[in-house]
Amino acid sequence: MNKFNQWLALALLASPMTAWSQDHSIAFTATPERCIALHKGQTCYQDVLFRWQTPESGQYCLVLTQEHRKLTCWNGKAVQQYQYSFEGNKTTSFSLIHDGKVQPLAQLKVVVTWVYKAPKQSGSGWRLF
Amino acid sequence: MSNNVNKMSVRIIRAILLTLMMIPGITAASDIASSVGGGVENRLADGGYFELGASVYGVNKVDIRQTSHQAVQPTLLISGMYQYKGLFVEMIHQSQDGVNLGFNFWNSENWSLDLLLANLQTSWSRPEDIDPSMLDEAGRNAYLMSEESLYIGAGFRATRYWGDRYVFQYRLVSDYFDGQGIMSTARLGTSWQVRNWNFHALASIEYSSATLNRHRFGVSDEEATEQFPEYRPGSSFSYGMELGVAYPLSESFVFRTMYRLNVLSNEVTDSPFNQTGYVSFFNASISYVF
Repeated sequence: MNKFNQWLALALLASPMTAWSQDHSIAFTATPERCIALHKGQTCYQDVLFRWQTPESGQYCLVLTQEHRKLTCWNGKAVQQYQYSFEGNKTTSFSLIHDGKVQPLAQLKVVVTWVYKAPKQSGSGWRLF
Repeated sequence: MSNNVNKMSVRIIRAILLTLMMIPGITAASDIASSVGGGVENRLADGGYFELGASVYGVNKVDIRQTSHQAVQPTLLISGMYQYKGLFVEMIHQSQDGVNLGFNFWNSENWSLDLLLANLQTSWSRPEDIDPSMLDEAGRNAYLMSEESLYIGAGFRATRYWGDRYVFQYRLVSDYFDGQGIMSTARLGTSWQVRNWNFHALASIEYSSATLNRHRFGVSDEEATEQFPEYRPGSSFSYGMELGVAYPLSESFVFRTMYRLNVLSNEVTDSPFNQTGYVSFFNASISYVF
């Protein structure tokens, strides 16, 4: 009985993992995944190409996760990539959602980073004429 | 003996300075775009950075004593700055004001005042152990084609910030190494961002005292030759404009390029050493930021 309970627990735990592995078949990617600006705090600009493979049926959307803003929506496999002009000063999460469902199909982050990571470097630069 | 040691140390420092500043006489621009990005409130924090890279520059020949001048030249880029509790050292690639060791002693929201304990720049000087009156004409010509030396000064610097975009800086230094004279600059800079390109523009006025101009560009009666007649300049002002841009190639590599035009005063251009009325300088570099 104990063994049965253990197997049951494992099966229950494994079920969401199975769901995620199905989501991975969506192959949601962003190229490039990093946006690099010169100084910490600056707005970073980058054209990012999102790609995915959604199932034949259903309504899907690419959304900015934090803002819940839909960037584009489509039916089935009608659209499989989207070029987005990213502008931001912090790492930003993007989700692929199946319309009407709470759980996103897949998520990724476009990481914002800087060459001069300490604000001091830039602030003091004026001293260096 | 001590004179030779002194000369040797000057030569070593001069070599370092030349590497840092890339060209004699006219040191270069700074990364003004980078300076504005961080904002005024962070300028007092401890820290710094160091960069190594490769650079190519082009400049016209301004002085007849620039015997090794080449129109375009590759060079090593060594750049960095560090500040700890107000004490700072600056060796900034493309800086027009040389290498600085100083102390930041007063700040307000928009102002910053620094003591410059040592400001090192390239200069000209004559051999100290030679009496030109003992030389013949050819000997004096060779004597006057003196090598570069160092300007080592001290003074102060005041900087006014207007948000992240505009900065004004005034500085005054006086040479205490061998009394070359006073140098003073006023510069107004601005920077702006176009996507990930960081542009800067800079306008400058530079004052040189009569002592400094005589040291650099003058010829005394006893030194004078047919090629280098006696010349006794007064003080002068020169004017400059600069435009530059920096772009992050990756998290560690930065591309920079800039152009600067300095218009020299008559006090300088009338010198028998001078060959042109302006300095036209271009630089491009790629550096690794540690």
